[in-house]
Amino acid sequence: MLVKDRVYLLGIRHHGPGSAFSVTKALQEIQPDCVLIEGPAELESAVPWLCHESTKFPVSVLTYNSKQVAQSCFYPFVEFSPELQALRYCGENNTQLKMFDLPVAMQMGRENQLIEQAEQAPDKEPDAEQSTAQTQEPEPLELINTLDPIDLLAKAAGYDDGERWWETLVESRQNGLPVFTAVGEAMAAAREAIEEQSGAHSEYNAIREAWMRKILRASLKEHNGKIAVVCGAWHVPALAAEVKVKDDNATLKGIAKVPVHTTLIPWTSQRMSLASGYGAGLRHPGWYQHIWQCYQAHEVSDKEQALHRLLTQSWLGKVAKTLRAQKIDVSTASVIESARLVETLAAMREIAMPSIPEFNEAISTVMCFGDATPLKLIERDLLVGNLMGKVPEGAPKLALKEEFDKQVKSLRLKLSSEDKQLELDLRKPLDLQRSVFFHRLLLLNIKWAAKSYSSSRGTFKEAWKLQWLPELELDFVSASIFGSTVENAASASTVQQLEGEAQLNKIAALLKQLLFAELPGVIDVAIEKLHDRASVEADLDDLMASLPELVEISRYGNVRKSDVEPVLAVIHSVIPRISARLPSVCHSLDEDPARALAVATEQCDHAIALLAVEQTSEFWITALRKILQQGSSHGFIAGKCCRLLMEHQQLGAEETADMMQYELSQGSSVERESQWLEGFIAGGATILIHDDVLWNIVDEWLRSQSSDRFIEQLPILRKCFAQFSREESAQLLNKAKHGKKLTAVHKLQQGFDYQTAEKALANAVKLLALNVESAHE
Amino acid sequence: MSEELRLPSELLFQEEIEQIKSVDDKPRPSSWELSPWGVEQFVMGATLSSGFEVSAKYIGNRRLIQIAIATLVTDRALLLYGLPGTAKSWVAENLAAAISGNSQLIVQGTAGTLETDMRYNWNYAKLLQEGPSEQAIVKSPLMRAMETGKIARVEELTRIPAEVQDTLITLLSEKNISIPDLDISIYAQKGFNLIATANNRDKGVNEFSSALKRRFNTVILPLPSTLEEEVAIVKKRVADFGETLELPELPESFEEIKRVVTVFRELREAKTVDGKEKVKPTSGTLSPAEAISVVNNGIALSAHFGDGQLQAHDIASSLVGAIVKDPEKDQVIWNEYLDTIIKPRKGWSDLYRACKDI
Repeated sequence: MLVKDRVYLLGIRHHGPGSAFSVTKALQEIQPDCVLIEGPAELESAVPWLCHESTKFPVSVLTYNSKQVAQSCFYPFVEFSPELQALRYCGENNTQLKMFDLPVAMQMGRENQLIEQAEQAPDKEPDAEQSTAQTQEPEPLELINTLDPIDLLAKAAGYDDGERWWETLVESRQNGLPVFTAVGEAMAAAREAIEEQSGAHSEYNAIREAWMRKILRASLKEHNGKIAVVCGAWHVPALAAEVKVKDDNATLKGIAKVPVHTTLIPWTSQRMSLASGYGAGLRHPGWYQHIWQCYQAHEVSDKEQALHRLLTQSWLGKVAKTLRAQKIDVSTASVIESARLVETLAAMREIAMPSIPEFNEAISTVMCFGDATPLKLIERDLLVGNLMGKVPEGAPKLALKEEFDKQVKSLRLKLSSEDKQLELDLRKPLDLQRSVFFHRLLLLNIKWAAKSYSSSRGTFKEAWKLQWLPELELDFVSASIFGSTVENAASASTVQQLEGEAQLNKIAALLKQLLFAELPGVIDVAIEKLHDRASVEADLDDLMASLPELVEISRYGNVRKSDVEPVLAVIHSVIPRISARLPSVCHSLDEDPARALAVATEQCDHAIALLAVEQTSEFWITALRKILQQGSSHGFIAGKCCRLLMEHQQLGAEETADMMQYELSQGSSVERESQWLEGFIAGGATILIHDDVLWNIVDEWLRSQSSDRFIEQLPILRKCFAQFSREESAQLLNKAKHGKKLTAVHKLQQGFDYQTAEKALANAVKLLALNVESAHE
Repeated sequence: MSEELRLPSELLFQEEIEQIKSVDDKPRPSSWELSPWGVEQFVMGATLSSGFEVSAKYIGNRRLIQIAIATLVTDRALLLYGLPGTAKSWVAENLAAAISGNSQLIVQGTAGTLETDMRYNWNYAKLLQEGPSEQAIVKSPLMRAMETGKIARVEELTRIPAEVQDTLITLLSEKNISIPDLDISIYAQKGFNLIATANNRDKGVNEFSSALKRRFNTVILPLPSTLEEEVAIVKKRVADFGETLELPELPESFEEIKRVVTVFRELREAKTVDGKEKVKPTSGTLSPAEAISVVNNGIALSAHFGDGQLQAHDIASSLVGAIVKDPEKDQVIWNEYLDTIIKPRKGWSDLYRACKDI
C-alpha cells in the first residue's frame, strides 16, 4: 500500500516464511533509500550481530532495565522472520535502516508509571487498559495479543491457517508489491471491524503508533528518496492515516524513560511456539522452518506444483525418520503412499498446498494404522522442533556469561534445550570439576543443572538433569552483580546470604553446598558464622536440626578432601548443649510436637553414632537415660529412648524387658501406654522383623500377659500395629507363626545372588584393608 | 413396491446417485461412477446445485470420509476399523455403491471362510465333465471385482482365519489372481480396490499380520463425539426403519431417543452427560447401532401393542436387555445407576418406574 507516493507500507506477518519471501522481493523492487522496521531503537545495536554470518537462529535480543533486572523484554528472530530479511537486505545494499517502534526505555518507563498510579489510587478500580499493561510484559512484536489478524482474514477467505492463505496470496501474484497493497486494504477493513466489535482500542498501541508516525515523518524530512516500512500488518492502517503532529505529540507527552541494556542471546524452537506463551508465537515453528528451507532450495523458475511436491516429500521423509528413531517401523512404500494420499486429499479439498491437517491424517492412516498417538512424537520433535540458536563469538555478552560459556566448553558440556540426564563419577577429575561447577551455579540460583536421584547409590555417584532454557540468560543478568566469574559470583552471593541468616540449620545447609561447590574462602566465613550462632542463643530445635547436617558435612568433607576440623569443633560443642537441654523439654508436650521431637532425637542419635567419638556419645547416653528415668517424659520420647539405649547396648535385653513390663503395666493410663509402645517400636516393622532381640522382648512381653490384660491392651496394640503396611503385617504374622524361627533370614537365602555378593566382598576387603585370607574365613 | 426387506444402497439411493451424476463435472478416476467430490456428497449429504437434496448416509467427521475416499483413489486398500456399531459396513456399502454402482461384490467373513471363497472355486460337475476350463471356474466376488474394475468388499476381516487372510497380501500387491491349473492369470482392471471392515473389540477375532496391515490404509471410525450427533444418527436410522416397516409416523418419539442415547453415553463414558458425576461403566459396547435397535424395538411395541406413541415402558425392556449383558455385574451397576442418576433427574420418573418394573 502506498502513501504519499514515497512511502511503501509493507504489512507483514511476524515470523512468516511467506512474508519473509515477499518482503525481500518487494524491497528489491522498491530499492528504497531508507527502511523502517518495527522494533524499538535499542535493537539497532544488535543488528550487526543479527546479520553476522555465524549467527545460528533462533536468537533473541534481550533488553532489560539495568536498574531492575526483572523488568525485561525479549525480541526473538528466526531465519524466516521478515524483519530479519529486511535487515539483511539493508546490510547487503547499504541502505539506511531505522528501528521505529517505541523504544524499550519508554515502554518500561510507561509501565512503571502505570504501576505507580495504581499504587497511589488503590481504591479506584483500575480501568481495563491499565490492568492489562501491568500484568503483561510489553511485546511490541506482537500484534494484538493472540488475535492474529492475518489468521482472521484467512478465516474470512475460507482458510484455516493464516500462513496458508498468505502463501496462496503471495504465489498467485508474480511480484511482491501488489500483495502488500491487498493486505493493507484488507487489514484496514479487518481492523475497523475488530475494534468496532470488541470496542477495545488499546492505548498502548496508540502510543506506539504515534511514535512510529513521528519517526516516519522525521525520515521523510531526512530522505528525498523512497522509504519502505516493514511492520505488522495490523499497524498499516494506522500508519497510513492522516494524524496531526500536534495530536501525536500529545499522545507521547510525559512518558518516562528507564536505562536499558541490550544483549543477544540464543533462543529455542520451543520458545518460538505459541504453546510457550509467546504472544506472536507460531503454532508449528518446525513446519515453518521446513517451508522456508524449501523456499530456499526452490528454483524461482520452477512451477508451483514442483515446490509443493518438494515440500510434501521432504516433510514425510523427516516424519519417517523421526518415527523410525522411536522404533516405529515406517517403510519407504508407506512414505510414498502417504505422499499420494496427501496430494489426493489436498486436491479433494481444493487447496493449493497441503498442510499439517492433511499430513497428520495421512501419517496416521498410512504409517500408524489409524492410530493418532504417534503424532505426538511428531508434534514435539518436528512441528515444534528443538533447534537452538547460537550467538557469534565476540558478540557483546555479560562477562559472567562469557566465563560460563568458556567453562562449559572446557568441561566438555553442551547447552541443549533437550532434557538430559548426566551421571557423574566423582572419582574422575573431570566429573568432580563438573559437579563443583554445577553446585556453584546452584548457589548462584542459575537453574541449568538440577540434582536428581542417581540409580546407583554411593557417595561417589551424582546424577544431574540438564536443560537449557533461554530465560536462564536473565538469571545471569541478576547473578552478574556478584562478580564476573562463576566462582567469584557464587562466593559473593553466598557471603551475602550468610550475613542475613540466623538459623543454625540453614547455615549448615549452606555450608554443605559450599563444600560441594569448593569455595574455601566462603567456607571459613560459614564456619565462623556457625561457631557464633551455635555458642549464642540458638534454640534446641535448631541445634537438633543442624546436627545431622553437620555430621554429614564432616564425613563428606573427608571424601572431598576439605579441612573439616573446625566443623568437628562445632559438633563437639553442639552435642553437650543438646544433651543438657533435651531432658528438660520432654514433658508437657502435645502429641505432634512430641512426635517431632522423637524423630529429631532419633536423627541426632544416628548422627552421633556415625561420629563414634566416645567422649561426646557419653553426654548423649546420659541424656537418654535421664529422659527414660524421669517418669514425666512424654511416652513417645521415653519409648524411643528406651529402644535407642537398647540398640547401643546400654540396656540389656532383660532390663529392657523389665522396663517394658513396667511401662505397660496396669498402673499407667491407656494413652501413655500406647504412646510409649509406639515410641518404642516406631521406625516401622522392619526393625521388628529383622532385630531378633527386639522381637523376642516384644514377643515375650505379649506372651506373659494374662488373657484379661491382653483384651484390655488390644486397642493399644491395634493402634500401634495398624500403621504398618499390609506386606509388613503379613511378614510379622509369618514370623509370629514360626515362633522364634528367623523367617527373614530364610527369605534372603532363597534369592541370594552369590556372584554379586562375591564382587561386593572383594570391594569390602579393599576398603577395610583386610587380609584376603581372613576375608575368606 | 419391491418385497425385499432391505435393498442394497445403489438401488435404495438410485435417484440420488443419478442426480449427483448429472451435476458432477469434476474429473473421475477411471471406471468410477462419480468423482471423489461426488462420492463425498453422496455419503455426507448435500444440496446439489440443481436444488436436489441428497440425504446424509454418515453423520460424523467429514474429514474421515475424505481420507477414505482419497485412499480409494490411490492404489492402497481401505480398512475401516473400530468398535462394533460405528457404521463401518454401512460406510463401506455406500462408498462401493457410489464409486462402482455395485456394493454387492462382497465376501462376508466368518471363521469358516476358505481360501476358495477369496480366490475361485470349481464347479465340480463341469470339472468332471469337461476337465479344467474357464467355464468350470466359479469366480469369487473379489475376482469378479478385479475383472470389472470395481470395488470389492470384505466384511469382518478379523473373523477370517489368519491363513486365509494372507491370500489378500499378494492379491493386493500384485493385483492379479493366477489360476495355475489353466496357466492363466486374472488381472485387475483400473478402478479395482478393496474395502475391508474389522472390529477391534469382539472376543475371538484373529489379529491380522503386519504384512497385511501394511497393504491397508486404516481409518478408525469413532463413536459419535457429541450427544447431539449420536441422537441425529439414531433418529435418522430409526426413521429409515419406520419407512421399511410401514409403521405410523412417530413425531413425539424424539424425546425418548434422546433419553436412550443419554443413558448409553453415560454408561459408556463413565460420567454423566453434564460431566458432573461419575458413573460405573457396564460391560457392553452400547454403540449407536444398539441404541437404534432399542428404539426400533420400542416403536414396534408401541405400534402393535400400545397407543402408537413411544412411551417409557415401550423402550424399558429392550433398554435393560441391551445394557445388562452380564447378569451379575451389570445388574448391580444398572440398579445403582437407576437409583442415583435416573431417579433424581427431572421428568425421568416414568422411565425410572418402567425400568424398575421389569
